[in-house]
Order: sequence, then C-alpha cells, then structure tokens
Amino acid sequence: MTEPQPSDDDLLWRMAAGDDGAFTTLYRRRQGAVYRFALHMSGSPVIAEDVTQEVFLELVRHPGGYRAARGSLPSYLYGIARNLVLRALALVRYTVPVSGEERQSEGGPLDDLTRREMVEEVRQAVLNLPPRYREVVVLCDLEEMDYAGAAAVLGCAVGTVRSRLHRARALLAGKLRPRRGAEHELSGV
Amino acid sequence: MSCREFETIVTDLGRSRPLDAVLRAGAEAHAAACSRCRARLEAERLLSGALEALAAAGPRQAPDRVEQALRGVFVARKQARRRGMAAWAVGAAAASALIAALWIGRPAPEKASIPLPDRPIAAPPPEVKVAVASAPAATRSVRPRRPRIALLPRAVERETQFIPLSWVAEPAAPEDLYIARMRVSRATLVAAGLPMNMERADEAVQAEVVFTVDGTARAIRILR
Repeated sequence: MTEPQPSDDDLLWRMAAGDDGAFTTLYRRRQGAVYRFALHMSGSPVIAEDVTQEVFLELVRHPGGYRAARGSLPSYLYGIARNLVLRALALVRYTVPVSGEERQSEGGPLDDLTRREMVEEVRQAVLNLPPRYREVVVLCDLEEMDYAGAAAVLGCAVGTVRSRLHRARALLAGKLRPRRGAEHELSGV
Repeated sequence: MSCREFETIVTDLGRSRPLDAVLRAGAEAHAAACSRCRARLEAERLLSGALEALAAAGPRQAPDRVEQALRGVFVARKQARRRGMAAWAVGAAAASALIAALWIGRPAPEKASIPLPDRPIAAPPPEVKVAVASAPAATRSVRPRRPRIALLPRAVERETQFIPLSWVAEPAAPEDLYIARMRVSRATLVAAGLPMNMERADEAVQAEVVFTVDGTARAIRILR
C-alpha cells in the first residue's frame, strides 16, 4: 500500500520552514504544468524556462503569498505565470514576430502534412490567437483544466471562460481551415 | 433541439467534456438529422484531436537546470536565514548585555554632580586590551578612561571610536568577537557616562557594539 502523498499546503508549510525536500517535491509536482503553460503561451522555451524559474522563486521568497482560501496552489502558480508571460510577451512583441499570415501562405493541405507539421501548424495557430483567447485554449484544451479552474486562474466568470473558449476555437478553426480540404473544413461558424 | 441550441453545446460535445446525458442524446439526434451541424461537430472533434496532438508534443517538463538553480537559491536563502536568526539571537543577547553593562556602570545618583574619577569603577588591570572584530589585526592597548557626563551640542556628537565597556586582561581572539549594529537610547548612553546630546535624550542613536560569544558587551561605537 502506497503512502498518501502530502498535500500542496503541507509541502508549502514544510518548505516555508526550510525543508528543501518539500520544496523539491512541490516543484517536481507543479513545474510541468507551469512550464507547459508558459511554453504554449509564449512559443519560446527560453521564456517558458524563465517564467517557470520566476514562478517558483516567488514561492521561495514569499511562501505566504499563497492563500488557500483564495484558490488552489496550481491556480496561484498559473496566475503568477500568466502575469509573467504577458509581461514577457509585451517585451518581445516587436523582436520576435509570430505572423500567422506568413505561415498560412507557406504550407499545403493539412492532409499532406506529417503529424509533426500538423502539430507545428496548430502551435502557430494557437500562438497567433489574441492572449485572452490563447490562455483559455492553453488552460482548457491543452492542460485539460475545467472551466471553474480556468476561471479561478483568469479571475473571471465561468461563463466568460466558456464564451472565450468557444470564440477561440472558432478563430483556431478559421486559421487552420485554409490548409484543409473542403471535407475537413473545421468551422461552420 | 434547434441548430442554435446545438451551437451552444457543440464545443463541449466536440471536446468530449462531461455533458448531461439527456442533452447529449438530444444533440446527437440533432446532428444525425442536420448535415450542417454534423459537419460542425466533426470540425470540433478534429480540432480537439489536433490540440491533443499539440498537448502531447514537445517538452513536458522544465529543463533540469531550472530545478538546480532553484534548489541553490532555496538552500542559500535557508542558510542566510539561519545566519540572520543566529545574528538576531546574538544581537538580542548583546543588547541585553549592553543594557546590563550600562546599567551597572551608570553613575550613582547621589554622585551625579560630582566629577567622576578618571578611572573605571572596577579596578582595571594596568593595561587593557580591546580587540575589535572589524579590525582584527588592530589589537590596541589602551588605558580605559571613563568618560565624563557631558551635555554636548548636536554638532559635537559624532561618530566615535570604540569605547570600552568592560575590561579584560587578555583580548579575545577576533574570531570570538562580534559586532552588532543596534539603536540605543541617548538616555541610556548618557547614564553610562557617554557624552551625548541631552537635548535629544528621548531619541535613539545608531551604535555598534562589540561583544563576545558569551554575550558580554566589550565596547561601543556611536555612529552618525
């Protein structure tokens, strides 16, 4: 019989008391989601790495900044990561052009693409969404978070998450549609 | 179910999210009868599949160097905090020792108007050596003089050299001495016979106190 895993709150308490084992456990448990969120939001492994480091540095410096009453620790970490990513994107907006228009003119039909190319195309389509739509796609579709969890991260109502996701997927379908044959048309909206 | 109603749930349907069974059955029945909504649902499912492929692709974890860097920071902060707590504890002990030393060394009230003798209250050894941690090599031999009580104008009150508070025949090794920076009230310092500006007796001054590992205050220096 396996021992029950310590809760995030328990690990955080132990971490605040200087237990580096607790910090390591907590980091390994939560870093993947933070890293992937930052990566899908920014498209940059460098930014994702920096954001992940900053998120957990914040936890090291101010473990009391997290309040369990306000939401789960993952939501708190996503919230920090989101702010950092948006800040980073604002800084690199003019130095790292990500143009969906250019990409759309390059490829052939989706059916002819290998899986890898298709993934890259979807990645670019996600990256070209406006941030408020991109983040709901990343949270709800890529990280499989439920609407309530995403609403907690984004600080908005569940209905807002639903409507943004609906709109975001319509935009994605619109970006991917030119690559598809008529029978695979993604959007009827 | 109408096409409009179908559109409101087609995202959840295409994402295979949990949906009310009755609603799901109604939607599926509608999609079977309506070619446009059926195509719409198929498009949503294709998009979901593409996004699942994206989610599964690429790195899932941050590079190991991030963990190593963070662990380094965590350990460094822990050590710094321990040092800080030790310094705080020693500082608190030093402050207590200083206050005790100043209290013991205060002039007797009935003798306050009498000039103090030009020697310490306790009989000192002929030579007094005070080793100051901030200048380990500078072991000085001084003949301690107890300062007279003086009311000095503010301009005269300035940074001082270390003034001995207790006397020892042999200096402590520099590594056994610590300096704590703290705020001490002028009234306390005046009571100990140090020349301070009495017009500001209710205010504190910044001072550095040299003390030994057992918490005995050895010397004090007033900072401006």
